[in-house]
Amino acid sequence: MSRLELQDVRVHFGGVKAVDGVSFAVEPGQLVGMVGPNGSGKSTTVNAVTRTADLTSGRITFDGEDVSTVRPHVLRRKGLVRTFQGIRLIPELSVRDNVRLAAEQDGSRRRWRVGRGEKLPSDTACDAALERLDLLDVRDEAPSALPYGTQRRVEIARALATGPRLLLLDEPVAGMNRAEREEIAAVLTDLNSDGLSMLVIEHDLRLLLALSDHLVVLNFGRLLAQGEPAATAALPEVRQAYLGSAA
Amino acid sequence: MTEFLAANAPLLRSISVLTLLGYSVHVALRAGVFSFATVGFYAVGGYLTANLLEGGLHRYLVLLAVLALTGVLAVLVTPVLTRLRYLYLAMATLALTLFVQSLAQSWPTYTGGAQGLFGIPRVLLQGEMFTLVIGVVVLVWLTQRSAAGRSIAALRHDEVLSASVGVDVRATQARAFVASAVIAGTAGFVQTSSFGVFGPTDISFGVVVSCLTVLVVGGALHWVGPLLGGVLVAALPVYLSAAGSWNLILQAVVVLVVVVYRPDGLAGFFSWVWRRARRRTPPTSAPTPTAAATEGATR
Repeated sequence: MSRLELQDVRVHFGGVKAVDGVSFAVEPGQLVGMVGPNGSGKSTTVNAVTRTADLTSGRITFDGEDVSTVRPHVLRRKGLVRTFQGIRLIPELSVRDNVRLAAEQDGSRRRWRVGRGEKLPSDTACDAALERLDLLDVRDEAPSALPYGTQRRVEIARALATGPRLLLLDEPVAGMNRAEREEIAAVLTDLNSDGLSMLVIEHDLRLLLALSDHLVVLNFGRLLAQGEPAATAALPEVRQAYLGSAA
Repeated sequence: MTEFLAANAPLLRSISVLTLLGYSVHVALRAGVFSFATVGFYAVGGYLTANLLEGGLHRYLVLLAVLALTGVLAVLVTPVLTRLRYLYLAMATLALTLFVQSLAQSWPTYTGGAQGLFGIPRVLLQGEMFTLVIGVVVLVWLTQRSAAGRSIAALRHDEVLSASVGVDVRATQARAFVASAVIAGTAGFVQTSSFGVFGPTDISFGVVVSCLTVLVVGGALHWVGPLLGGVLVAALPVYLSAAGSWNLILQAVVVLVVVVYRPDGLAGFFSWVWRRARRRTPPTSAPTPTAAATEGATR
């Protein structure tokens, strides 16, 4: 059973076919990369999966269960979590509270369920995520006081703190310098080696070729190609669409 | 102290009512709901209190009845309100208040119609009134520091993000709206059981404006804002009464100064003063090497 499966998914906004008949799957433990030029429907596909955009038609299943019509907050409780293309941190909360916010949305915040002096499960998950993304030093800072790359790491930590079974990352290294990209790539590899399934949207094809087990290429809202990353990236139609040249 | 409390009893009652009304709007606003329904639920609380006290019911049971009725009414309307957003949501809450106002006019047996209700037993003790206000302030403060407070903050800033991390947007807004209604009902209880009167002037559009003024002056989103706003808005007319006909103009000037120079209200101003004072205060003693090493190890 696939962790995530999209079957003939269409998202139309009036006459605009943002996503038009896309089908692919993410298997358990797999890291799937998704590439495509600007406007090719990558983010809309993720929005459809996370119910931020309504499906026009098609079906999306998560661990075999149809999630095409469930409300967004239910998806997180099932283990399907995303990050966004733009940074979306809550400015009035500290770094730790931004991460804790996500960790405590499963009912574990109820203090009477844990003994005196014991740490809440949500706090444990939050601190583990902060540690994994090397954010313990800045946990009490306001997000706005942090460099861009660190804010990106906070977003990933927030997603991780939910204990996801599938992580959808929308351009996780956008705007980062090379060192920061390598750092995030190492984190993603590490998470994937722990068995976490991931769908990563990224413009950095080199990064995806290094990380992913499977590559999905979109163009004009349609599935252009998918398969083994290096072979898929080498296809003439992919090079034409992505690089503007088949050479 | 006792003399001060006795001499200023009417002012303290006004402060309590305005503070509770301010918290009613504040609680909904923090969850992204701009609610004018506060005055409607205030009316429900006020008229219910008047009728039950005249019927001889004990004030504690009256308060329980007010909390229950305003809570149930709010639960009944939330399925409609949580489907609306922005201006449409605000207009729906205003419509709710207008509905209650017209119902009050057309149901004179229980509301006194255009005259209102007079001679209601003034049974609420000053200590009980302060307990209610302080209880609401403490509850709001504790909530904002809790998981619920973080969810509410996230919801107000970014609904899409909060849903993606697991916040049930509709349920959270519904809970905030019910809490807002219950606090407004409590304000109606305090008004009626302490002043002994409740009528159309208590639920006029002027009261809606007063609620908003309390928030703007005190600080709309700070937990202590409605308390500071309630004190200032209730006290200004009293202490500026010596200005005679200039009273209203001076009040307007004070409000304008706060709005223009401190959009985050008095709470924002005091926070700013507090932060500056802390920055200027030198450390009492230099940290010992041991303490510094411990701190470094824990970071």
